[in-house]
Amino acid sequence: MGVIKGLWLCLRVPGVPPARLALQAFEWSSRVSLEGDEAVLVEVGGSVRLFGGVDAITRQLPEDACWALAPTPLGALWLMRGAPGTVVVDSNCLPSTLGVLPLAALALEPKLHERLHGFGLRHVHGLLRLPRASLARRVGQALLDALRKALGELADPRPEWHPAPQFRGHRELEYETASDAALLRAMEPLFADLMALLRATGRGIRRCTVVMSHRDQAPTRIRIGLLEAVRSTDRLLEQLAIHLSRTPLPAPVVALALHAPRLELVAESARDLFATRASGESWVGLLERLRARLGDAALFQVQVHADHRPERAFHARVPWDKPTPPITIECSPHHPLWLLPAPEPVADTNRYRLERGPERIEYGWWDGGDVQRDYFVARDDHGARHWIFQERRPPYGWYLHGLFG
Amino acid sequence: MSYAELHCISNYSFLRGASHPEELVRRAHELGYCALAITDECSVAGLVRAHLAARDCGLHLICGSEFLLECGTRLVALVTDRAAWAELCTLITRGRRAAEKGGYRLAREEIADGLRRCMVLVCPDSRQSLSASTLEWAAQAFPGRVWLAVELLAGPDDKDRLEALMQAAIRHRLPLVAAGDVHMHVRSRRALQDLLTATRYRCPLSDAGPYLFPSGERHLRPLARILRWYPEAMVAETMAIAARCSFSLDELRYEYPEEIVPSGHTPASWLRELTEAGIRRRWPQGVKGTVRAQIEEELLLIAELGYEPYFLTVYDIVSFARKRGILCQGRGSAANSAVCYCLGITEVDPARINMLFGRFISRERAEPPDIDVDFEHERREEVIQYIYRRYGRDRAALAATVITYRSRSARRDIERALGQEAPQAIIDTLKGFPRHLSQHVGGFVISKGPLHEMVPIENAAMAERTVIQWDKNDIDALGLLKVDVLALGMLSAIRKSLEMLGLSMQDIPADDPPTWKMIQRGDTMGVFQIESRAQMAMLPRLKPACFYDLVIEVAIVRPGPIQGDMVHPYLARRAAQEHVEYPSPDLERVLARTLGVPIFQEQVMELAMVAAGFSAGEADQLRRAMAAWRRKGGLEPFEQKLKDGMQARGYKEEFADRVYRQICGFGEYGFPESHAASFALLVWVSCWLKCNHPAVFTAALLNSQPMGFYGASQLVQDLKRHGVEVRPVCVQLSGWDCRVEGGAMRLGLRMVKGLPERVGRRIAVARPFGSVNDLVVRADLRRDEVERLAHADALNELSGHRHRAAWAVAGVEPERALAPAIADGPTVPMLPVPREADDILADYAHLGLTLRRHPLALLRGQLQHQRWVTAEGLWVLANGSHAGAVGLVINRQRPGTASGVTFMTLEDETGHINIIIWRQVAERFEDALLGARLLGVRGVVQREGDVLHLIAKRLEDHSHLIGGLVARSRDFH
Repeated sequence: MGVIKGLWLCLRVPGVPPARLALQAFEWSSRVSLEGDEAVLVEVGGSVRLFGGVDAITRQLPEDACWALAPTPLGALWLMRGAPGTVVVDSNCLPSTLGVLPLAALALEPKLHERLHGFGLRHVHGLLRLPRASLARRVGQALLDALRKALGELADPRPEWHPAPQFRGHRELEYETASDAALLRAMEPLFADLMALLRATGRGIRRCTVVMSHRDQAPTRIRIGLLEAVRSTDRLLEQLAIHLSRTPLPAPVVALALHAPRLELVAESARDLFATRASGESWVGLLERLRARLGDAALFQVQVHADHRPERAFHARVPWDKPTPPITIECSPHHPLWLLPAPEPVADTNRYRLERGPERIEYGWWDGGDVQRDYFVARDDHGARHWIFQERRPPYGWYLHGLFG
Repeated sequence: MSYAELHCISNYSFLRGASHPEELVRRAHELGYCALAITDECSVAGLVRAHLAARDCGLHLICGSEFLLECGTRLVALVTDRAAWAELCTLITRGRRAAEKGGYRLAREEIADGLRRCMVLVCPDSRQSLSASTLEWAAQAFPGRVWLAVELLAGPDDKDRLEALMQAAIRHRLPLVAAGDVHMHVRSRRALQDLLTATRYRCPLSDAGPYLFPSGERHLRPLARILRWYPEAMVAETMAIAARCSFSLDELRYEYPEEIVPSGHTPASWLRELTEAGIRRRWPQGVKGTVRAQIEEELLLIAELGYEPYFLTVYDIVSFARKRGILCQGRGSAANSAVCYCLGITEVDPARINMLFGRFISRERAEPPDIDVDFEHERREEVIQYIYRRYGRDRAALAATVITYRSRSARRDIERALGQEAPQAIIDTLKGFPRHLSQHVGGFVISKGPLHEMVPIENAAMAERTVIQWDKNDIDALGLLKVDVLALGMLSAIRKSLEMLGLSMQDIPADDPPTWKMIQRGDTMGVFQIESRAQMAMLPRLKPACFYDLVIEVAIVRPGPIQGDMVHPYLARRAAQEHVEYPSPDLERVLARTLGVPIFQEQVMELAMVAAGFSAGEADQLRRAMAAWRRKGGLEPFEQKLKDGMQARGYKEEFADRVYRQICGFGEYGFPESHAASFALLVWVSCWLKCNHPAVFTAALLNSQPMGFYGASQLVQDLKRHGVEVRPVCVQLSGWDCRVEGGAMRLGLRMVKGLPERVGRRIAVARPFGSVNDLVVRADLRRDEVERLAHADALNELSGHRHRAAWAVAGVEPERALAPAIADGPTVPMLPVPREADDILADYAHLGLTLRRHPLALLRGQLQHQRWVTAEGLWVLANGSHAGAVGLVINRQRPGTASGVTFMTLEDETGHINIIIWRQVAERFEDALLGARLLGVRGVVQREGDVLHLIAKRLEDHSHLIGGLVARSRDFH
């Protein structure tokens, strides 16, 4: 074993953004660098010395992680791509270890890759064998430099990553939605990122803003303020749910952003590296609590619904099942505001004098609520104005459906 | 008291109207309406259909159109006379041309300016309040011919509405008229109308509330209800307006363009002169008496029907093509006349085929003759541009094609709107509904005056193309002139072959025994028409030995004759040489040339006339019904008439049944003899070329790609199988096109994928080259261009194998001006030599074909191990043996016939394997069937003479073996 000058871990976990990995890795080593949005590079030489061996590190990595260890960052990256799980600690072994990698591990631009393929090259060692000057002329100095960096012949300084003192998260939604439930669910990863940052920096927040973008309208902003700095997803989601239920959305939401301008000090509670999310952050339970606290009624709201059937023209809806604001059907002045809960059969049609009508409603054949009726405004024998209808199919019964004020 | 509905849209107001124009007309007639106006939105596309239906039942049809102006006002314009029709068409044209395809845009001023004769109804939207300024404007814009339409549709406030309209009428001095805003012929179309609306707004029905009508009142209502709901005066007014609308589409008199006749000539004298000149050219030794007699008879018939300008128009287009050296060939009912032969519209010598012109232009039928002209596919655009130039864009436009709902699209749209499985009944109703107008493949309508005064013109999807609002059937029905200007790839290939050989069409002999032998073997890859799998399988059975056999061959391998069960009887009679008994001498005359089996569309029509007493017009209706019955039904009325007619003429019931079944099977697939004859000539010419000059013919095919049934790779392999050497693409030796070098064929630079033509031509001019550098400098190549050449192995002569070529090319400086200095040392570094598999795959990737071994040859060891047999190996197996073969999939074909059989052709290093896959197997192995590039088929060998099929039992996707070639080639030395 040679002298370890440096040892780089290159790490990628499917589904986890490198920035988040970096946050977690930062608890581990202060030399962390991002490799675009593909992977994170961590200098772990110190840790290896500290913990006594490479295994001590690799054992802690999640099962689905893709990783490699090498004396150079680029070497580690290529190995992670082409031969994950490889550990090289001696830089003298780099040429032979990197040599067997397929060229795909270099993730070259397609055109450049194609060109190398055209020379009959399939593996890194083919590249290493060619005269460097001639090669550079054909493939560019950049590739030559990359080779030398990977081999440790050329310094490869990496920008060091530090957690931001503020948080800005952004997320495009895969589908448009205006449902509170869906929006709360969609916010979860953003809150999770925020929590990771807060944990990495040992801080909390007191204020944050949720920005909901719409396709054509100006974005909706919800500002959340708390009495004390927190590091809890529950508290934030709870606040957001309450705000959402009060805020009308002008249109479905296409993207979400979470801004926390200032990270503040909070009492620390240590967490494990790569801990899974606490189960207490479930939004369902939260809404349940919310509903329990405010009462069902408070969470319903009346909406005008575009449906020609009078009994469906008005709807009570739970707020987290908010549809897109409908283009409403013009409310006819000839319809009564008071509808019976259900039409009642008219026992004696003789007590009515028809004043206006028929207004024909034939609608809803597709959803099992087919309606075929002729509506009339009629005056009963006491002079009261009623809204009655006759079925347009056998047995052509008469019903009372509404009362005019 | 009767009623005329003046505001009614059909399903030609796409996704709005829920009834066919014919249904509306018939229903209005049933209800006792005195007239019906079809007023589709900024369209007259459904009017011809309505017109024909109205003529049938004797209803007064009013032509009109509905407009929604930019200001939100809805109007209906009704046509009073021919001049009003012209202004309506002009207005629609204006609105349509100002908008994207499918839309229109009209402002108030344009309407007021455009409609100076039409009657106008202002139709206030039931949801809109009456705008005083709109009524004011309308009253002034259309003085004395504008009404306020009262449309009472059982809304919430009909009474108030009527009241308000009456007051507005008084205020603005506008008369009131009853109308119905009809969207469907019967109330029961309400569900479909709702679905169409939801589809139009692209939302599910549950969200379509704001757009749906609250009730199904927008249908043709019984008179009694109309009279109960509307004041009598308003109903009477409908009839008064109807009485002023006397225009009928029958008044449209099509006028032929005039410029085709030079001054001093009449159309007849000019046609005579051209024909006589043609006679001298065609028969320099003098024309035979029978042909002369036929010509005279044809000219007489043409004169009688006044069709001279039609022939002259086609002649004019064909002459243009000839001057430009564009090969073309006419086909269709009139094309195979002696006159067309003299005019050079066709090359089918009337003496060569026994055909009577009178059969194709009928005295009784008032339709114009039908000539389609095929042009070289790469040059048709020149012809189209010529037509536009010659007649102007306002006098020439393409016919429309009405795109209609099919089962699948109907199901998709309904389910999208409904959010659940669609009921079959609604799917069936929606099937056949027009969906939008598209452009006909090449049918030009040309007129003497501005076309937009006859029919509206709108924008097509293609820029610079315009279509009229009527389709082929509408044009036929009204007797408008249409010339089909079509594109045919084979004409390009033939012209190129002839050019290489220095021959012309007339130089091709009419008979050539080796060519017939080749055809009879089914050795026809690449030739016209008879190269498909089914055709190739038929050839050894039918064994064509004369021109007319080719005509039959072209027509018989079609779904029509196959489903009508005509193929086997025909083959049996032909093989057995049996004496055919005809039920009557009349029928013998009709059917003798096809041994008693009706094969052509014309024969079915003649049969109906001769055996069942149909008039020519009725036979033609039968032809149309046949074309449509599979989609729409409607053949039933003819069944009884046919059977009765045949019984009356003493034919047996069983024979009548069979004839009817044959007609049903024929359906839309029946092929006309007149087209088959023209096609057969191209079949013959291409076969002669293939047989006598295979290298030239293949080169011409490659130079005309894409076209035909087979790709370049198959064509080249076929040529190699015929013992012709094929040489690789090479910058030192290749031209842009493929060509013949001695007896061999040299691939052209055009085969290099992605190489632009101008670059290829530059290389061909500048060669030969001393080095890659020299090539780059003198042919002025960009790096990516020279790279393509390297990948295609076209630099082999200059720099060695592919990898070395790529290395050399990559060393060229990007700035061409500085290119010459290459700073490399004297030695080229050691680069791995490409393995055979690498080369083969690179050939496919960059040329689309390889001249090396077939990829299957590389896999053969492995395949043999798994008991796969080669294409050649299958021939030594006994009929009925079980065997398996693997090959590259070169085509899959599922004919539109109902049996559900799929034909596939596989290719290995020894040849082709023809696979038949029955539906059950196809469904079971669907993934392999549709996805495999390399397919393994295990099944049963079926041999019949020179035809071998493998009937599939199992399909296996072996595409990974191709990938395996790459993988293995990775380890390098």
